[in-house]
Amino acid sequence: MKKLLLSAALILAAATISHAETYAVDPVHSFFMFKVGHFGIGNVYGRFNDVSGKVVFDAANPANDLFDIEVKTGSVDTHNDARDKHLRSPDFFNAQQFPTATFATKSVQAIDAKNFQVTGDFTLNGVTKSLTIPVTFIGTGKGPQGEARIGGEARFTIQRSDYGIKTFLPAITDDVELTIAIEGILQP
Amino acid sequence: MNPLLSTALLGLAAPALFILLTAFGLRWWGGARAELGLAGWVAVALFLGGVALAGWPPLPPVTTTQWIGMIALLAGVSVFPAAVLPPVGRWLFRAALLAAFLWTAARPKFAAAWTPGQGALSLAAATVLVTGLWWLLERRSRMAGPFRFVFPLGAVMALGALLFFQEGSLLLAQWAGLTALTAGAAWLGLAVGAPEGSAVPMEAPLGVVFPVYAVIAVNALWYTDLPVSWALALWAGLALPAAIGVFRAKG
Repeated sequence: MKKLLLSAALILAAATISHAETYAVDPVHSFFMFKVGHFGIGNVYGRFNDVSGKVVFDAANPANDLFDIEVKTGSVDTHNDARDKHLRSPDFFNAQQFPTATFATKSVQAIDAKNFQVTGDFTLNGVTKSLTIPVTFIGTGKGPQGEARIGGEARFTIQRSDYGIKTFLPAITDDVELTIAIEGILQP
Repeated sequence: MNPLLSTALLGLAAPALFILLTAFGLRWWGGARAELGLAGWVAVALFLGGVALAGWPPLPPVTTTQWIGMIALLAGVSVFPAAVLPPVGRWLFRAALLAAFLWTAARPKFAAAWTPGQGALSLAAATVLVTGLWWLLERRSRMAGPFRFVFPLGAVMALGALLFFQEGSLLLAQWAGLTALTAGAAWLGLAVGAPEGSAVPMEAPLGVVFPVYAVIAVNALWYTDLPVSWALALWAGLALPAAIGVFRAKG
């Protein structure tokens, strides 16, 4: 009986310390998009079709949260084959030399229940820079097959020249607006 | 001014014009000093042209294309020791240098795509082929004048520029165009209209341009969608006429 009580106490203590839940990024309902200015005339939008990663969410302690995302740079898609070929080349994303772009969380600070400042390493074209990005928690719920899901979104701007991508500057703007919209599926 | 036009003027036309005028001035100086001096200036022109095209490269360079300007400078320095070495030593030195230059382009392949064995074999094969081609072109130019080196090399570099552009990389196309224009300008300035027997040799300037173009070409082969058959056709277009010329002269 003592052992049972002790075990229960330990489980309760562990549960109190951490409610961290790990979610795998759902590639079907997750998006990594970009927007860049074109000759001061308009904007070009594109996305990376191959998104993966992991989200850890701890409602009790946001410091345990994690927002690690990876995209395959070769999966860039702007709805134009010739432009996609150019974007995959060494002029832009250099997909054969650097097949992935990643964001790896280093720390998380909660602003309120829905908004977080996530500091992490963003790696693109072989260059890693520390960024702090605003991440908005959207919600949790059940998917069509009863699986637990979580959703969130981040919007931030990078300067592509910081990552050695200088082709067509300034006709194609240095500022690139990124949107990462993630749905994660709870892992057992 | 249109930013694309200003980049082309600064990155392509300005270095070529500079080399044309420098070569024209050096032809009065004559001999090995002019040849080596021009090689040094060709290296500087290629490096600064690359800066105009792609910006200052970081130190150390991160991507393989950022190495190209550095390679131009290193090749420019290398012509001085190469000039005082005996023929066998010079070719061994050049082969070692080419292996090092090609390694800068092969590094990501070693990291992600090749096993160490595959990598070593690929790098060795590329080094032997490129060194062999360089030897062939230089041999042909010694027999029949620098035009026999400059014209096929310039033509292949210009054609390469079109192919690299077609296959997705404007940057590599611009680099190939820069090497073609610089080689052509060096030849125009040094050789055209020079009095008989006074033309300055071009081995040293081409000793800068050739390895730089070799690195551009392997970058295109390894990191763009350029089909292997097209890349091989480009090199064969350079090698076959030179080989026929050399062996016909021997026969």
